[in-house]
Amino acid sequence: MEATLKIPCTKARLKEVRRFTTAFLKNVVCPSKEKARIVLAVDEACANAIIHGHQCNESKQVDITLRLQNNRVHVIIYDIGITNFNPDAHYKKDIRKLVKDQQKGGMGLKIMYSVMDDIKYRKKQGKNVCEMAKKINVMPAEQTATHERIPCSTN
Amino acid sequence: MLILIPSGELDAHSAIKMDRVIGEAVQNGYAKIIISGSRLTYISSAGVGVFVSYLDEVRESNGNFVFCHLKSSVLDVLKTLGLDKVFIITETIKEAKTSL
Repeated sequence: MEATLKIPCTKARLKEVRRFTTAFLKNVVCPSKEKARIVLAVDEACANAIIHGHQCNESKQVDITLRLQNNRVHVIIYDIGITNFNPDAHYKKDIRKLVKDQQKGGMGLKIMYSVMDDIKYRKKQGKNVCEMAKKINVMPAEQTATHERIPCSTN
Repeated sequence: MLILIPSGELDAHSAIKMDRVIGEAVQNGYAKIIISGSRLTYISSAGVGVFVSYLDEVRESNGNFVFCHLKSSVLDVLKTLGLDKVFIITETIKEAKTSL
């Protein structure tokens, strides 16, 4: 199962990213808390690409691909923004230091690294690629549909 | 004391508006601010970041941010960041008022 979404680089479209990710995870059977955390991680990664990668330039684009493979949710985000991004410099910052420094940013990566099992940033054909993966428990869609069927009254 | 009841989703887009609201409140002398999460369905790091950025300022004025009525998904974000140990979080508004 795979799905792709392309959005212009504007924060107003993050809602669409969350809807897209939620819809993709609909038939994946795992705790709703886990699904919510994956949606959050995708939102954070896309916000970083939009804000830091492209400075919210609407003429630029971010591509998001979600793939379910071998009981893992794979997230691949492409953008053509800044180079030499070093996530280590950000997500390892102490939260109390962020509070002390009154920093609004720097916490998105902390969330991504907390939620996802693997995160890689690399360059591919001139684009920045953020790849994330998380292991989950899945069930075939037919069984999921049975599980989600709402019992109706015969009265 | 100021009680805010944000509704909907607080993400990198809507955080700009929240930043303006908190900024104006702090500028007008409010330091004890309660955030009721009863209508808040989602928060991202950008939303949380608004409160983080004003925390020192309100504390310097003997105030604080207190969160109450948080939905589990919103509370989970604060816990993931370790901010449940930084902000005051209560169940009810009554408890929130008492804590300030």
